[in-house]
Amino acid sequence: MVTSSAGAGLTIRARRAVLWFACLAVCAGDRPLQAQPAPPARIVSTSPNITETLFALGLGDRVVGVSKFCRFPPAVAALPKVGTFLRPDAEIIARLRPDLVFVHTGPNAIVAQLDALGIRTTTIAPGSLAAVFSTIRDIGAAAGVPARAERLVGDITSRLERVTIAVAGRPRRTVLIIVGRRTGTLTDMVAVGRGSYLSDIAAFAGGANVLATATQYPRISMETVISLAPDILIDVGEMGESPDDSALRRRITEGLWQRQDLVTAVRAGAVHVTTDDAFVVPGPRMIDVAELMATWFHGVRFP
Amino acid sequence: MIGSAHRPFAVWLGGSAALFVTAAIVLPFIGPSRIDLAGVWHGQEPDWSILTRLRVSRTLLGLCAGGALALAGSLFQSMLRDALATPYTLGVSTGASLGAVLAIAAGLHTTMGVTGVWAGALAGAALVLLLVMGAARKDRQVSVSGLLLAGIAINSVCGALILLVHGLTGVSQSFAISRWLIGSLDAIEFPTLTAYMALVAAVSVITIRRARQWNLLAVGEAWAATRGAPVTQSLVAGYVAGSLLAATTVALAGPIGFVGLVVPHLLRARVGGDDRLVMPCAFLVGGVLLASCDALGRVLLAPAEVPAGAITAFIGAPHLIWVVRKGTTR
Repeated sequence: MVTSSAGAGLTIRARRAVLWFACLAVCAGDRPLQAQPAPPARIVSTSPNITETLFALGLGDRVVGVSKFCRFPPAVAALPKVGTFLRPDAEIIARLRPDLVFVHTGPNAIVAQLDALGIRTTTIAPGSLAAVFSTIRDIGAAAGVPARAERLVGDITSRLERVTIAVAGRPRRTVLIIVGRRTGTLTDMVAVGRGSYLSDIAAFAGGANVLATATQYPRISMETVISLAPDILIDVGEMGESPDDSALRRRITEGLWQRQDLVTAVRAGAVHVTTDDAFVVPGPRMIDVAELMATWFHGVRFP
Repeated sequence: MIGSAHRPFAVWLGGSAALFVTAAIVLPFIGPSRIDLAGVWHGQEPDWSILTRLRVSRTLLGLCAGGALALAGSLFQSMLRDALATPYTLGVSTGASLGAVLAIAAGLHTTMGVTGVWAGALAGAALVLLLVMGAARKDRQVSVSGLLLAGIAINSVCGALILLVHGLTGVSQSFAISRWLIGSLDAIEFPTLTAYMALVAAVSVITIRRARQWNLLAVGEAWAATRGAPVTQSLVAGYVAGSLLAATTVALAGPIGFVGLVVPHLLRARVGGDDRLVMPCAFLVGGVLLASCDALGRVLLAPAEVPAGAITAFIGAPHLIWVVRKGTTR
């Protein structure tokens, strides 16, 4: 009996042990699921290129907040604004109850602030042409859609190859790209130096940046524009806040350039003024910019 | 008038004027690209136009803007008896900056043929000038302390409004405002430059001709009053003159710092505290300093440019520290 009771007692303990190990096994089995949480349903973007990438990946319906600088696609206009990419507002973000926030590397404490609030963040490196592809992959991985990210990268790469093939064998056109200046004047201009995002795209489109400087975005004067004598001049120096404002700014800027008869590109009628923000957002629309540049540089067209 | 006893006057004034003229002749030949002198002689393009339309305009703007800021700084330092006074102390320049920032934010392109930012800057400066005068005036009198307090207070309000507007604007305006607030020189069209130079020349001559009054005010208001100086009238005239110099300069070149603070101090260390000499020399040397720093900024990292204000600070700040350590400034 004693044995039996003891046996019965052991049996109970054994059953408890089995249950305990079973629980442990289930918990251990759960661990990989915890390390890879469910795809986020509420995403906040703190930068235009992140927002555009999210929408290009078909995740637009999950985006619940964007930066105040985000303007594309038009659907973002109705979304809550969470500050700028340099200064995202942790409080506004927290109120949106996101399960994933994409932030840029930058001089702010947003990651630490959101960590303290228990909000998951993924940091994205801003800037270069190569970063467009790594950003798409990073966002795809973090949002749980890596296959879509690979497809998007593949689409952009194949269109980029088509541009490269279209301009192959043609002489490179020298190009100067202005990205900033004093409003309403052609003074205090900021141009694109070599090694920068737009300079790399121009190279794909069969252009050669005339500005060989150590800095990526040097300040230059009209004298430098004249002496560099680029074949093509692109001015992205002003973007409007509305379609009407953009059209007005484009007209004014074109008028300013038309008076500069010492600039080779002006005399050749090769000044392209645009207020399209695709030029300044290193995101999936970079391929549209590359195709447009190839058209401007060499007259090639893409369907 | 200037006899043998005043030889230093003539020497300093003549030397400064010679330096100014030399800078006006030499500096246009310094730039990011080489000017072909033979080509210029034969009117060959683009060298001829680069020299005459761009570099001469920019050099004259630098000479005039540096002169205006240094003279305004010298005037405010004497008038307010404040060694740290600059053309920006009494709020008018910040008012001009606020006007320019509002013009950018509102997308004001052109107003009555004038570039929107310039018009905004001048309107902002005029408004602040009236506000400061109104706040500083008490019982039909204006005192130094009243002017200083009203100016500093309105300066702070304008600074805060600039931050507010900057924070509320969209992406393109935000970048445009950031660029504008750096302050820098560039070539401008000759009709605008001529109007600016005429205004600065007229205000400078009037200011320098009243140097005796600034000398008296630099000692103290009571002292100036006992010597027959019309204190309130002088303060108002000085404030309006300094504001005109600073506001028009800020409208065209943005808020360029340091010239207005450092040049008067460097001169007082050399020529003494007499504004009859300090002021004209400040105008001439200030102009030479800013235009030279701008020329240096054009070639230092050519074809990229370094803003003139940054070079003036790099050169002027160590010199000022050295002067202060020697204890030779007033």
